[in-house]
Amino acid sequence: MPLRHERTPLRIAAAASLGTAFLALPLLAVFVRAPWASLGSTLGDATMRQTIMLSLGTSLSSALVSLAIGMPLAAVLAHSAAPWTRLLRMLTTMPIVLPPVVAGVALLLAFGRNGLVGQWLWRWFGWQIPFTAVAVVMAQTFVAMPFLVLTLEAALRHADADLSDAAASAGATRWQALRLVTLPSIGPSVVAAVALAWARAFGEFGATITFAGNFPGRTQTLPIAVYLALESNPTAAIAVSLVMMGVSAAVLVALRGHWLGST
Amino acid sequence: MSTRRRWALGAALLLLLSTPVDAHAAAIKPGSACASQGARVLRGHTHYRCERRGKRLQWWSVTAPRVAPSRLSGSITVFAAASLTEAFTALAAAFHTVNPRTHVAFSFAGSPALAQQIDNGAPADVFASASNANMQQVIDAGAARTAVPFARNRMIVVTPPGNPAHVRGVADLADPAVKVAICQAQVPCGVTAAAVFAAAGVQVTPVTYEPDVKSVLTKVELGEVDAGIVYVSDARAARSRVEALPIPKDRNALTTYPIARLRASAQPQVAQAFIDFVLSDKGAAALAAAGFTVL
Repeated sequence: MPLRHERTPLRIAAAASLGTAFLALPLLAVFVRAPWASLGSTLGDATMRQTIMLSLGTSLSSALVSLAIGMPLAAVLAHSAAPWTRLLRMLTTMPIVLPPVVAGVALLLAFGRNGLVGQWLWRWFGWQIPFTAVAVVMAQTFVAMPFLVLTLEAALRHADADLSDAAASAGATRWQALRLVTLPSIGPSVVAAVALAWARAFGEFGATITFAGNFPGRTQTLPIAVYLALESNPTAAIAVSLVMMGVSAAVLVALRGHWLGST
Repeated sequence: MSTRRRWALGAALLLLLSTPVDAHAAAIKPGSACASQGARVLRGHTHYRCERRGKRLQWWSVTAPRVAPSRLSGSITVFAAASLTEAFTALAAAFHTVNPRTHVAFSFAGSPALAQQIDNGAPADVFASASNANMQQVIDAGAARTAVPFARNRMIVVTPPGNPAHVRGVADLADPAVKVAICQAQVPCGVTAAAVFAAAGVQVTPVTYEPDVKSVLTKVELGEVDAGIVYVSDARAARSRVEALPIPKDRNALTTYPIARLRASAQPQVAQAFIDFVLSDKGAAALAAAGFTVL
């Protein structure tokens, strides 16, 4: 029997409105203080356009790279019952709890010119990853991919329970069931996971400025531009913040079926 | 009491009676021999300390603290430019010795970021900026009345140990093959670095504009860039982790550090005492030791 729909108790409603206000007020403040008159000229500036394009390009690349290398990882996590899977899951979750600046330092120590791996790239091929757009994508992927992996793993488990029994009874192995039945059924979750990873990559700051540095048009992304503009030109910082909020809101609206409830 | 125990007591008494301080009591004067390094005695109005001079341990007079530890008490927060990190940390320890009931906490960051935070009401008592421009910003906002300049800092080229790109001076930084890190133009070290390039008549395109001078130093220390331009004081603080290439004085540029008490300070006396300490001889000595030019 479905639960009867009833009114939210007053006390809970009051507490909930406190939470709502806490989340909404800072966003509202940006709108109130936004330099609407000069918005066009600030955002139309050539350097700013470059920064916006770079941010969009790198964050999209990061989301796709996350999908390419994160999807198999999610499949292993969802399907393998081996004891090391727990260790693997912990490793995958690490970048979520790690302060992004620490992630940036770790990336430098691994892929920098004197890094664990980076020194060989430098010696053999003369490649240096830091201070390039590739470094931006790597930093963003490092912090964003875990969100994609965890989302996909949950989706795979969920779909698995319903479908793989049926597939198994039709004679398929576990991995066949995954490839032929489960994966096609989680399409919407894949979109949601990619969007989540993209949003995290789009907002990435600490790991990026530490690993990729800051150079307009090459490694300066929107969050870095906001941070630096805040020191010299707060008005421009607010304008850029407004753009980032707009883009984030657009993503939420596009994916409202997943995160905003389907009604 | 066992016999052995009595023996032990007797031996301890003997030892006590024959302590070197008593034995040499009459001999204590500057330069006379002493036994244990670091020992202190008071003779008349002079304090003596046993110190190693050359190969021998000798008594030397130490100046007794002229004033009793001050009664000043309270905690202050000092917002200081990132380049002051080492000098001010050492200064605060000395300040604490003189004023044991005070506590100094620091927030070190790029001067514009600190000025911005102060203008937005950050609870700070003292602001030490790496440029007059950022101090003026705070004064214009009404957060401070006046500022006193207390030090200057010059720039220096630093490279990773071994100088892999064989940089010899500022002119080499213009070479596109040399990867350079400098401060972004909004912070004082970026402005001063630009002045150095202008003086040398070179166009330098760095691979990265770092948010503050310590980030430049980090990129050099890690060997991710071939060279960076930092303050002389930063190069000194980094010791052997970087190689320093001094810039000729006539081609160098400098920045002036002003310090001010903030009007919002809840501990104006402690704040002023700290500023006075920075401006004192002891403060000057600590700053000079850190590589600053003292005013």
